[in-house]
Amino acid sequence: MSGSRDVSAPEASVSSEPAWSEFDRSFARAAARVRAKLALSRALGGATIGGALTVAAAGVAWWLRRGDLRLWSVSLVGVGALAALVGSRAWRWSDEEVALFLDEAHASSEAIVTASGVADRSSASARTVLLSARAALERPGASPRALRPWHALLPVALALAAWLVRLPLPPSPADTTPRPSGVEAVALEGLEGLEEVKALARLEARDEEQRRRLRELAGRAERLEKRLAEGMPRREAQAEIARLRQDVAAERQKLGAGGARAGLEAALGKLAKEPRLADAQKALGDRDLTGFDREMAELANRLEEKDRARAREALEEAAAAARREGAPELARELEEQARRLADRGAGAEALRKLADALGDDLPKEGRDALEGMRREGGERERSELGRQLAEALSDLDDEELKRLARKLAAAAKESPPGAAGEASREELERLQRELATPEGRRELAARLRELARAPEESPEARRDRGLDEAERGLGRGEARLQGTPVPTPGATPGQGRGKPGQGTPGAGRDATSGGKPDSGTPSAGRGGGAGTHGGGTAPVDGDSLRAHANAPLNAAAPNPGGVVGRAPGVAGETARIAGEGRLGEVAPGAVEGASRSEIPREYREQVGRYFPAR
Amino acid sequence: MTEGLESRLSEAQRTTEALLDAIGRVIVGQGPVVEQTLWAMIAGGHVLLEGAPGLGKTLLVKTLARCLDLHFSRIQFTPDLMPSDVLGTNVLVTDEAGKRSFALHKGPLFAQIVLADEINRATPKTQSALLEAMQEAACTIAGTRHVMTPPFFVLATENPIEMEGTYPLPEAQLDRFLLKVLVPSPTEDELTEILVRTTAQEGAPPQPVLTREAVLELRALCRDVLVAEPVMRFAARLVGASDPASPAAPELVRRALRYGAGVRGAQALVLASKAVALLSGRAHVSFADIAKVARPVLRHRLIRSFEGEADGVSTDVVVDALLAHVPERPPSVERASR
Repeated sequence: MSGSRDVSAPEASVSSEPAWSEFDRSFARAAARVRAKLALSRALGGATIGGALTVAAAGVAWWLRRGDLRLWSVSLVGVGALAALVGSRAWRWSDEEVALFLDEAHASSEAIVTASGVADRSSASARTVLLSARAALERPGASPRALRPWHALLPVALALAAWLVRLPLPPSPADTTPRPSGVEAVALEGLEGLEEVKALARLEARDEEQRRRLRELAGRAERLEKRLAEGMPRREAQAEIARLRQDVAAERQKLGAGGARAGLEAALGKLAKEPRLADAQKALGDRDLTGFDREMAELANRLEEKDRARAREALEEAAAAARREGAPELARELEEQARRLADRGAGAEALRKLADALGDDLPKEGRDALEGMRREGGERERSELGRQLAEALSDLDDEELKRLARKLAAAAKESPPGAAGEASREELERLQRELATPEGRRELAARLRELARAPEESPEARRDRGLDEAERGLGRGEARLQGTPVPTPGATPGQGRGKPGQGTPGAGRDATSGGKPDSGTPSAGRGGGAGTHGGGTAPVDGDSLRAHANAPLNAAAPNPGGVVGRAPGVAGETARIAGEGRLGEVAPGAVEGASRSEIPREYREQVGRYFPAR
Repeated sequence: MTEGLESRLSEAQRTTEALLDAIGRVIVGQGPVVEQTLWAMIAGGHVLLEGAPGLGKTLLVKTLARCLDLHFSRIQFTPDLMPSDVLGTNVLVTDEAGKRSFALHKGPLFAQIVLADEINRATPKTQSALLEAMQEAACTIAGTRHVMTPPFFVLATENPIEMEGTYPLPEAQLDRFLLKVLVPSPTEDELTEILVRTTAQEGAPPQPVLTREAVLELRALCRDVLVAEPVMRFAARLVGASDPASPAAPELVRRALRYGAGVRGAQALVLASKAVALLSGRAHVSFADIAKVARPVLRHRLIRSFEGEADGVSTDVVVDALLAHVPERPPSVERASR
């Protein structure tokens, strides 16, 4: 009776007597059944514990706002079950334990454990015990319960875990972590202005290199937006926005920068020879391609045929010079503008001639629009003129139309020689033909509306506009971040450069010159119109008054060698941004820029005394 | 052979039932007392019967002796009883030829059923005269070892009330008793029956039911009963946990006991449980058998501490605590069985 014999072992099944062999087999079967049930029960137990851990882990993950971890925590159920199965191998019941369990289950008064452990199987007592043990083993239904009451927690835990996984994460609490002095966290969803930067990725690029740069800018904006949603130090966000603005501004400056600068200088030199192109030249010098495109459109509307021809020649010379000096992109843009000047100018010329031919048949609004177009070349006036012409023509009878046709024929004969004059003559002859028939007149009305339509921007202008919008957006985002707007070159209200008769300070309206009601912000332009210049600017809040150099020399970009407005501060960052300053570059517009600037001479001299040149 | 053992077991059951029936005709109630006395007889141990006077202790022993057809002697222990009065002594005798020599005059201990009545009234010297006989079924007189005729079965009685002028049995002496059986007072029904039986004409004395050979056969059969190792370990754990110094001891044992049971206690547990199994017609011992005999086996082997005595903690309570504290099966099996 000493020691336990493993009757499941192969040698144990070998018995001298069939009764003992039968007992060994019965016991092995019962033991296998018991152990299997135990393993199942343990697996269920492990899964239940895993389920409880899952709930706890999912709860913690939810509390920590780690949505990804919540899903992973569900795997703890399987891990628990697997661990229990592996553990059940280590905790496998011995034959003695199985026999004790069977004795308890069968109420056999320990007959099975006595029989399974008996040393001398040949003794009479052992045989008697064997009979009792076999009788007990033959009774059915002795295996541990696989399902325990606490296993009911498993579905409950799974349901809870599923609920926790689907539960929306709680809002981020106010970060109470003590931060270094001056560091403030900010969490924002969809910061205003970043959309415009992200839109850069869809912008038509000049070349592959620029496409890569634009996409990188958009990507940085996306990353910044994501980080802002998660929360980040305010200064860090401000610094990143400032860097983005800097890089967007730099992208705007790429045309004619670096190796192409000589080309730009050469082109500007050629354009400077034609006084009518002064504003366009200034815009190009500032690399304000949107402004350049606008100026060219206005010139097309305003200039007469001879002037237009000279302007076109200047543009073509500038393009040739730019190409010669290694600025092919700029050359293409200048050529495109020259072509557009001719086409657009011809249309404008036809409108003017038709209006002149109509004479008093043109309503007053039409005449006003004609006058405004001649003076300013504005698209609004051109559009209005086209609409008035179409209406006036529809009111004419046949006799009047014939008279009008004769006038147009005379005007066509007066067109000067040359390409521009030829285009105008062709346009007038075409008008004359169209006036001859009712169908032609209908076509003419449609074409007048087409001529009145605002021209499409050039690709460079579109690009520049996109970058400009991105830059302005970043300005708004920066203002939102720090609560006060930061002066942005070219992005501040009232940024438009003044021209004679436009950009009146305050709410004044230049009735004579047709100046538009201004937003009331001070403009750099001179109110040269004859109208009243009354009105006033809103009081300037001291807090928003910044030491911003209103840099008319280069409104769209940092003043070369200077500091762009105010760089928001992360220690070290400010200096870096300001230090970039492109000290090594001098924008074309900056060359002799001071003398061309709108700062009165006496002021410049006064400032010069304080900052003598080294 | 199996059939032989089965029949022997059945026969043992039948004869013991007959014995119990015969005793029951004389002794009213006291079923557990009679049963426990039989356990000791079958296991080859001795019994210490403790109870108030008049509860039938002596009558039980005398009746048992008559039913067993064994040589019975009764020793009334008194303070002046000497060891030689119990064991016997050498006396000078002269034979017919006139030759004088010493001859052993055997004392009352040389019987098969010995009733040591009120054993605690004799001096320790006299009490200890029983030690060798009870342990080895032999005694040494004047340098000569004399073996008792088996079966040798001592039944001692003691009165727990009249303690004045008594000599409590020493631990070594107590340890020799397989069981200490407490004789309870009769219930109302039992007392009524006693009155009926004892106040009328005496009935016929009981007839022998078991012969000496049958008793010896029962004792031999008892030794053949098997005990599984887990059951044996349970007995060992029970005894081990009765030691207050053992880490496995329950809190009550540590507080109320000075000494626990020893090796003889563990042997007694197994032997008594074998007798129980035999009386149940089984050839193997169960956990329940061990638990059943635990109280009579251990109650006189546990030495209470001052605190235990002061608190009135009986050793039976301690044994119950031990049974509740020590698991029969491994915890994993216990859990799975629930």
